[in-house]
Amino acid sequence: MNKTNTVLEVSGLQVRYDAFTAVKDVSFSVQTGEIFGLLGPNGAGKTSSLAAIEGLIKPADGIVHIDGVDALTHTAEAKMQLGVQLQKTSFQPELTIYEIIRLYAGLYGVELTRQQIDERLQTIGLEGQGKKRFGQFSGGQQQRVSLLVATIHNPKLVLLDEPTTGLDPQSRRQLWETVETIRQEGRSVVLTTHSMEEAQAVCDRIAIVDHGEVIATDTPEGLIKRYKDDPAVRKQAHGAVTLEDVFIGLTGNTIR
Amino acid sequence: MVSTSKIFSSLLRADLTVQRRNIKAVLLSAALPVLLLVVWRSFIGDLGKEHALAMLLTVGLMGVGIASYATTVAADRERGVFQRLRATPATGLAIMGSRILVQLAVILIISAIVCVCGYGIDKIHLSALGYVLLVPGVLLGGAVALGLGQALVGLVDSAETVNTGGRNLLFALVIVGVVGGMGILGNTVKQIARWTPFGSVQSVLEGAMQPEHWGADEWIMLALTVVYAIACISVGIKYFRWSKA
Repeated sequence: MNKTNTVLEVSGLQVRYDAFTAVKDVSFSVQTGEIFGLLGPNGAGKTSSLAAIEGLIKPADGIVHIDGVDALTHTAEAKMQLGVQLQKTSFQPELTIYEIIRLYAGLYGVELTRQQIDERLQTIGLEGQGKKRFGQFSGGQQQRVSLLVATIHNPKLVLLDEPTTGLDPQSRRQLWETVETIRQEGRSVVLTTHSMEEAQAVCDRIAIVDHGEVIATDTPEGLIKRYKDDPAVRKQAHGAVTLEDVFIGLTGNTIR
Repeated sequence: MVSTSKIFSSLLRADLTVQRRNIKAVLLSAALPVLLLVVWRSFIGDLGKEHALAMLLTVGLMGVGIASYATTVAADRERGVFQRLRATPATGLAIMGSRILVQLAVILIISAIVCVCGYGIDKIHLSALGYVLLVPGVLLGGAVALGLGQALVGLVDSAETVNTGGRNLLFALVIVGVVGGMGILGNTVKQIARWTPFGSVQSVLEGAMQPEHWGADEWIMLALTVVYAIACISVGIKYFRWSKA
C-alpha cells in the first residue's frame, strides 16, 4: 500500500515496436485526487505510454508504480487499482449491458445484484436499459457505459484514452462532469486528449508529449505563464497567449 | 486480489452466454456432416460405417476450429475486445483458456449430434468402449482443429482475410480429406490425404471407435495427430497478437 499521495509514478518509460521507438523517455507522477492530462500530437506516444501503464504492452525500459505497486512485476495487483477506458473500447457484441457489467465486476471480484446494476445504470442516465446490447447505444451513451465499467471496482486511478473524441458538445460536457465526480470521490484520473479546451477545463496538470518525450509539465495556467514569452509560442498567438498557442509553439505546426 | 478461479468463472460465464447466442453457428457446423450422412446413405456400407462416421466427425471438428473459432477470435481482436479484457487482472491464458474450453464443449456437442444422427439415419452404432474412447479422440481432434484456427489468426491479421482464408482452408482440407481420402482423385492423393491433419484425425477417431482393431498404424496416426496439435498450437501462440497491428 502506498503511504504517500502519489498514486501513479512513471519514470524513464520506453516503448519500442521492433526498430521504432514510440516512447523514448516519459516520466511523470499523479497525486491522489488529481486529474492529469497527456497532451500531444498524433503519434506523440500518448497511447503507447498509457498502454504500457495499463499492462497491455511491455515497456523496453522504465518504472511504473501504481499506488506503490510495481506494475511491471506485480501486474495483476496493480491492475486492481486501475480503471481503464481504451480509445477503441468494445465489448462482446452478443452480451447485454447487464452481462458486460457482471463480467467486468467479476474480473475484479465485485459481485453485483441486478438491482445494484440498475442503480449504477441510473447514475449514468441509462436506467432500465440493461437488456440492451452495447452497439445499440449512441456514442455518448457508449462512453458512459465504458466509464461505468472502468470504475465498477472503485479503482484509485482511472485512465481515459481520448474519452471525448467523436462526442457532441452535450455528451462531452457530461463526460467532464463524470470525470469531476470521479475526482470528488477521491480518485485520480489520467486522460489523453487533443482538445485544449478539454485540457484547460478538466485537468489540474498537463504533460505535453512530443516524439515520445515529455517536453513540459505544469498546470494549464502555469504552462501559459512559463511559455508566453517564448518566440515560437508568441508566433502562434493572436492576442493573449492560449494553451493551444503554447502547445503548437512547443510541438510545431507540422501536420503528422 | 481476486482468485484465478473467480476470474475464470466470470470469463467462462460470459463466453458461454456468447456461444448460446451464437447457437446458429453451432448448428451450421453440425449441418454439413449430418447432410452428408443423409446424402451418402446408400453407400455408407461400402465406405465402412466407422470410417464414414470418423470422416464426418472430422468435417464437424474442422468446421468449428477453422471457420467458427478463428473467425470469432479475429473479429473480436479487430473490435478491441481482447485488449479491453487484458486491461483487467485477467491473464491472457485465462481469456483464451475460457474460449477454448467453450469450443471444446461445442465440439463434443456437435460430435454427439453427428453420432446420434449417424445412428438414426444410417444405424451406425459403436460398442460402449468405442463411444467412451471417442471422447478423448474427439478432444484431441478438436485440439488439432482449434490449433489450426489459432495458427490462422496468429499468422493472419485481418478478420476479413481470416474469414476468407479459413473457408478456403476448410474447403481444401475437406476436399482432400473426404474426396481424396476415398480414392476418387487417385492413389497418390489418397496417400497424401491420409497424412494431412484431416486424415490423421480421421484415422485416430476411426481407431478409437474400434479399439479391438487398434494397431501400429493407429499409434503412428495418434503420434502424428499429437504433433499436428502441438505444432499448430505453438504457431498460434507464438505469432498471435492481441490487437490488430
